Amino acid sequence: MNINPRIGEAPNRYRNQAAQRVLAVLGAFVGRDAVHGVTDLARLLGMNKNMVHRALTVLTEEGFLVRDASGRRYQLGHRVLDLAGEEADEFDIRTLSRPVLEELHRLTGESVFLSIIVGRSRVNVDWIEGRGRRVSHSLRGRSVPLHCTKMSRMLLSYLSDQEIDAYLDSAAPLDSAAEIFPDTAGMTARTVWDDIENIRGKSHIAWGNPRSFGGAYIAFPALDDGGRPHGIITVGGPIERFSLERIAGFAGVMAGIVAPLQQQCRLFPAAPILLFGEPKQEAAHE
Amino acid sequence: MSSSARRALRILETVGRAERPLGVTEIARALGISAGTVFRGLDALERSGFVARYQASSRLVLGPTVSRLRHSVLARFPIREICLPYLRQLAFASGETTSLTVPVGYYALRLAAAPGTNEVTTSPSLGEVRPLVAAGGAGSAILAFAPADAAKRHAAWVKRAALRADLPSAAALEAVRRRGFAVDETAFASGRAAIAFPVRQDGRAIAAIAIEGPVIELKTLDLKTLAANAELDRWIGIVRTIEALARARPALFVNPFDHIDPDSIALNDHAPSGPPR
Repeated sequence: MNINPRIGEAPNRYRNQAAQRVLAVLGAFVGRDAVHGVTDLARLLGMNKNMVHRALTVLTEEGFLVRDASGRRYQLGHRVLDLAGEEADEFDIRTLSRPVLEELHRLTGESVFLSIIVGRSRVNVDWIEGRGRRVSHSLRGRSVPLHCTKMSRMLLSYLSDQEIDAYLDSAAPLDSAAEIFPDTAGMTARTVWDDIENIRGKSHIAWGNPRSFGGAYIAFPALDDGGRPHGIITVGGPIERFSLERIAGFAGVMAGIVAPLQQQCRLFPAAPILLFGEPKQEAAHE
Repeated sequence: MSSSARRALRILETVGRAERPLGVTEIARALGISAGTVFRGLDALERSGFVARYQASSRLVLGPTVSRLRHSVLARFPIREICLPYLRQLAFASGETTSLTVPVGYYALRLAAAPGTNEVTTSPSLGEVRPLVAAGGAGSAILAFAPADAAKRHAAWVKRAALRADLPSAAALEAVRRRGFAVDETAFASGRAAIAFPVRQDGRAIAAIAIEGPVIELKTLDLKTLAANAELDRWIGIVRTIEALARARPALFVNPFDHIDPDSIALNDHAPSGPPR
């Protein structure tokens, strides 16, 4: 039998309208929270309710749709999971950032970090260590409360004012972990807010920290379209080698390296941030 | 209406389950229908993006609509986005790929993963569905915390489905409960195992978080040695935080298939024949 391989150009007599209607109904369930009833599907697809009802019957019998918990509407069913497909292209900030970290490390020779918010903490989820004396001396994947260290406060600064206030209220007194994080000595909500106002709106932040290992740092945010943080990328080195003057000289080139990642990050919504956990306990862990 | 539509869905499943792009004749042979019928079904499927041509050939693969539907199903589990930052933290802390698995009926759905940082790591396929009994440590972690009546129904289902994998023994599940995690011996690192933690809510496991590399020595599995393992302690701490979040914000941990009778969910040709007893 000679079958025309150009299926897209099948003549009208080959058209299979019943199948097309069923597939159109199934296709309407693409979307984050797609739950539909007969009436809205009919309106959405320009079909009569009877056609929609028959399509829903086929799709539920086959398991491609199921009734939702209310029993009145329909949601995607388990059978869709059976259609094995490659789930490539998932947004993963660490995978996307890795080449950027490598390039920043090649350029500077210093330590580079990718940090994200996990619960109420900053966590470094990737880093490349600098050569010789370096600024990274922590456990892999440890949690640092969001008010402790400039890197944490940079992540904190991209949250909403309400979220920051709520965080600071619940984390008070803010200087309780000063033995572990010297930069929190004498810290109050006001001093954190001053810091946040200096951070917000800037393309990058550079700072020296004479107390912690005598380091100097520059950090770039990776934000989504709404300004929510995916993470920050920080380069840090001992101040005698990586001075603020040297950082200023590098800043433009580093910004150029980070820019494509920043553009890519805008295309994907950042993971929801719940600021959940007990900051005092976390501080005690450190 | 229904027969041609059902045929189109059968064709879609055939294309979806094939390990390589299929031609019209192969699909016809697989389904025992004429090539012309396949042709008409494919026309509808291709028009709506459910199937697509493989590299401009006449062979077919799943199309972009299927990918969007699968993503839409995964996105219906809010636990996925909630857990991703924690998975990344665990992946970096352990160096190994970490993943989140949730039950869908008697199956395990690998819902999210964070790639490990070690040079050699596993690369799990996202959205993969296997029966819980064939889902390694993640499956055992979930089964160990199933309520008694659900466990009984599950055991009956496994028997009916005649799966190649066996139900974990009562002693093995008891060990998971005592230890707080399941172990999964890996073929490539003898004497070591990957581990999977249950994520518990009201006493039952609503998910499992696995560290998929050989992170633990099997000979250290007695409770005394485990208690002295500071790394393990940190990993457990991270899972406990997620459990505390599930207690505080249960709406974020709702499984969109929880209200479906698990006996009615059949996937992967593992469906047991006949009605549940």
